[in-house]
Amino acid sequence: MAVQFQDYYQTLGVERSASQKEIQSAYRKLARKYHPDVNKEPGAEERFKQVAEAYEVLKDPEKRKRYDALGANWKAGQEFTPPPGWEMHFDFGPQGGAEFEDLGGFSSFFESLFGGGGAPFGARGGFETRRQPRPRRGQVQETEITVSLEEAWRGAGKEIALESVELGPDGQPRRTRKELSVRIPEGATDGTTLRLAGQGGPGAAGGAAGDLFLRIRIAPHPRFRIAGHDLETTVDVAPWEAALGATVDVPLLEGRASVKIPPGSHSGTRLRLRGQGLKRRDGARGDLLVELRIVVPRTLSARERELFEALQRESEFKPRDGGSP
Amino acid sequence: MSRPGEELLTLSELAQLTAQTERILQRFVEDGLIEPAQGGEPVLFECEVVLRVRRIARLRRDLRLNLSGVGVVMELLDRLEGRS
Repeated sequence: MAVQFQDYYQTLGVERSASQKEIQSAYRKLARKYHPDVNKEPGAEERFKQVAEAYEVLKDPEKRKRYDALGANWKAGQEFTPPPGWEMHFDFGPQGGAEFEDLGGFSSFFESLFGGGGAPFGARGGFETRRQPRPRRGQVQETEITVSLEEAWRGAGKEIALESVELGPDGQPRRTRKELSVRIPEGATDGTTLRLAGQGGPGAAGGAAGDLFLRIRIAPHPRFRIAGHDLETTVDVAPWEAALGATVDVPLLEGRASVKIPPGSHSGTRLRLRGQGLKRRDGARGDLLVELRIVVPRTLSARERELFEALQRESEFKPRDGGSP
Repeated sequence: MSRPGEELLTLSELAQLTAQTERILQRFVEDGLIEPAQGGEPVLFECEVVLRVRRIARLRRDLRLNLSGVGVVMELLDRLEGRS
């Protein structure tokens, strides 16, 4: 397999003569910037992986020396084969660096220089002997699924397709795709996570497969916002409904409710409809919070204008004078 | 398939799934980084805590954050992701 040369100095943006301190500081800066937990932009994860790999080599004087011994004439991306006589009896694996099982392993360039080829990605501790492999449980894997609010409300069956990279019998990584049926439980909310036992990474040397954790995301809904197991919605009311009180019809996720607006309500007043939210673990439902928004007619009929003008003349209400009457 | 939505994890299961010690997980609880599901003994966790602990562990290891630093980052990430 063709291996591409990686210019680790270029990746970290430092000179070949950089001190360990400069390398460390360049790494820390780039790690903060591209860490996939804090940077969700496409490409950030790939970039972080390169940065972590570069640091893995350059932070370690031994590995750096071996890397430097390749000479300064290689260009990033150039096809690379280790020079003849390159000693492979070292087995540097990732040691306390980034968690490469999450990221899919070091590059084949790294492995051609420092070994680790054929070993499962993410084997911990570079000096762990691999002569008598102990059964190892597969990695925990995580993924996400987005469902509609209606699906979370009622529960739903969904299909998910998973792509993973696994080592084939020949030791070469290959992409595999599997489909799973999952049940979104009634009462899932945004962030609810399901554990799918044995659907994670494959075990090694006879170990059991790891678990897959599936995080549920709820797609934005045109009318309802989600706050834990509570739902929030906004209902428009006329000024006289707010002033005099009224009973208004509020659409729910399923059906409708009559809601009593107390006299003297303001824009932003919140009314709580108990048990109209998402179902909790204990079976009870969260609440629906209805926020009132007072709206006025965009255009007034002659009669409406007359009535508003009469109100303006006769009302003693001073909205900007502190406490309202 | 089992009914995964109902599942809660014990401290030792959580430790095993996240490759952390129970001691450090207890520390995360004390620092408010993770919360057990409601209810007394034994302490049980929702499955989403597994992902949270994995994230905390990545932040500590990759960015060398201490627990207070992790706390601030998690708080900001929760806000960004609309969870607080």
